[in-house]
Amino acid sequence: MSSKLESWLTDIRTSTTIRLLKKNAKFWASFSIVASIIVLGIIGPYLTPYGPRTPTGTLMSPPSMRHPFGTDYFGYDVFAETVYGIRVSLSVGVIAALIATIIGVVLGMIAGLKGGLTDATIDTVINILLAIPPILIMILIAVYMGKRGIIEMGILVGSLSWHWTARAIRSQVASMKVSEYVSLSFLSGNSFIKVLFKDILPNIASYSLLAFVIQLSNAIMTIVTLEFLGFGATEWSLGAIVQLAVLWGGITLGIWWWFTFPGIIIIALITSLYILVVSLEEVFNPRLRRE
Amino acid sequence: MGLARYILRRVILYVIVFFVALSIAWLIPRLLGNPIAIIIARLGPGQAGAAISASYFMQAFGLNKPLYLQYLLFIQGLLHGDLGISVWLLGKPVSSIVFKALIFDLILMAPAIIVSWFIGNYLGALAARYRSLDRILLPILYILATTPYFVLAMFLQWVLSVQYKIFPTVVYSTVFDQLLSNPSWDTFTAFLSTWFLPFLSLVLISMGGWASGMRSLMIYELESNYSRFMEMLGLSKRKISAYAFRYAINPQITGLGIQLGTMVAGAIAVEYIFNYPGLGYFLFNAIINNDPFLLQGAILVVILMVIVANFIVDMLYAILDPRIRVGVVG
Repeated sequence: MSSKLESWLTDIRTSTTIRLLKKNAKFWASFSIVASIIVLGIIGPYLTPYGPRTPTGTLMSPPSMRHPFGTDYFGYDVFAETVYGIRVSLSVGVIAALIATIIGVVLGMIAGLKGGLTDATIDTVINILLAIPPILIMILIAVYMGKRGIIEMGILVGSLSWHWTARAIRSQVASMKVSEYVSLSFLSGNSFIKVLFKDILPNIASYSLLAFVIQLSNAIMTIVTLEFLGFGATEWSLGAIVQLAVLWGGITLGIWWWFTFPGIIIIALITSLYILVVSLEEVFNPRLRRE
Repeated sequence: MGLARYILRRVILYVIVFFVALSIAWLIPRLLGNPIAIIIARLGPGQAGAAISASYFMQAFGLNKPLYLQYLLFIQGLLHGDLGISVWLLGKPVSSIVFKALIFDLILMAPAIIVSWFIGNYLGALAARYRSLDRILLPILYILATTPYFVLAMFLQWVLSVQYKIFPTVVYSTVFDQLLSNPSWDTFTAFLSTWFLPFLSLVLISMGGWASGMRSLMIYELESNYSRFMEMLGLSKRKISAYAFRYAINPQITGLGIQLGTMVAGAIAVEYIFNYPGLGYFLFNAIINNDPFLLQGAILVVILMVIVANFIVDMLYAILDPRIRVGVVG
């Protein structure tokens, strides 16, 4: 067992993919930014004495030693709001991305391998979600949702964004379906489920991981927009802080620290996740390497 | 032959999409909430007449009829351009609000899409061809492509109108009414100064998306065997790029419809930030002011707008792509 693990680890260390990943500057830059934002979300709340809704008594104070990101119109500490906000927005994003990836991979595999009416139905649903911007349906549902917690928002976003993944997986699986090893597997009497899990799934596992990162980047984009429109899981999620700043004249009054810090973190997070995807694609797809 | 079949299949799909959209807009409010309760709540807290006014509104909005009849009435009303009344704007018909907003949206978005598509694809192709330019351009394009619309809009407003005062800080959404009722140079410039910043936000973000997409498509084509072959034949770089561009542009045309969907959604927040009276502005206000009919009407019209645009793009693509024209695929 241990020798198997060792040989597996050597395989990883010596593989071309990992070697290329190690020298990819985009990968390291984006990975470290994403990692530092996650770390800030985890340890941030321990670095500040304030909670996101602790009245500090000082209103609209610019960044200082006591308040590294300043305080807002209501006297809340923007650093505290931001670090707690990272927790909320990231949690919703991870839940949404997980749900979307799982639904997308499963439906994409079934559509691609089964074909026929099942495929046509799933493909129509994918096309409907492509033609109607899902965020509009999310807004319509969110307005009437009784409770908009982290889990509820994650489910809402995840259950309406799987179509990207499903579409990509479907076309990959459809091309595998006509390959010899899948035909042979069917011929040797393997059931549909067995072929799906034994022959198809291992081949799309690495792509599914990539799909998760793509979904995470998109989910966070969708979530901060929903938060900005007033559907945040809490009052201090990243998009919600910015919404309050806009609604209460933070921009026109020149309280720049109120929206700049959460705004920059939003951009850094989504952009880095996107560049992470690009770097992974470059490594996996030799034609994009440009060496 | 191939073209006709392709168009027929697309038409069927969009008819389905259209009815799904209608049904969603009709069903979700009935499934998840009670618009009447919201209206009653707005009228004032717990008065004795609440039950009476509730039953009055139930009748007035036809909510006491059987569901299938409600659905048919909804579609009938829609065909007559009746979308109910706005609670927030004190009984103004939703259709008239939404219709005016739709025109302002078209004035904002149609130029934004066209300008960003052309500039974006051009920049992307340039970045793919010139390495040195790519190094500077690429990070900027990535950041633009992935920034949420409202974040950029907010920074633009802060820098250009609060810090540098190039554009007015406080703009009134009535500039449009003034322009229509009294068209003059002054009202026109007032309109332009309201229009420009939301336009710029939409253009910059979607330009980033087009450019980074075009860049990878172009690199993919430039590294392909036919480009290598042309290189061996001694064709100029310029010529090879031109061929690659013609191939790479196809997915960018199909992407137009989808891009429009994300732009429309992004524009909701942008229009609110800049007080631009498009559909997004009313959608946002319907959300914060608890106005169920305005919300439903605005969302419905936005969805219809996106569906129509998608359909146009699909038809455009059918005409432009020779493989569909002669019926190889589709």
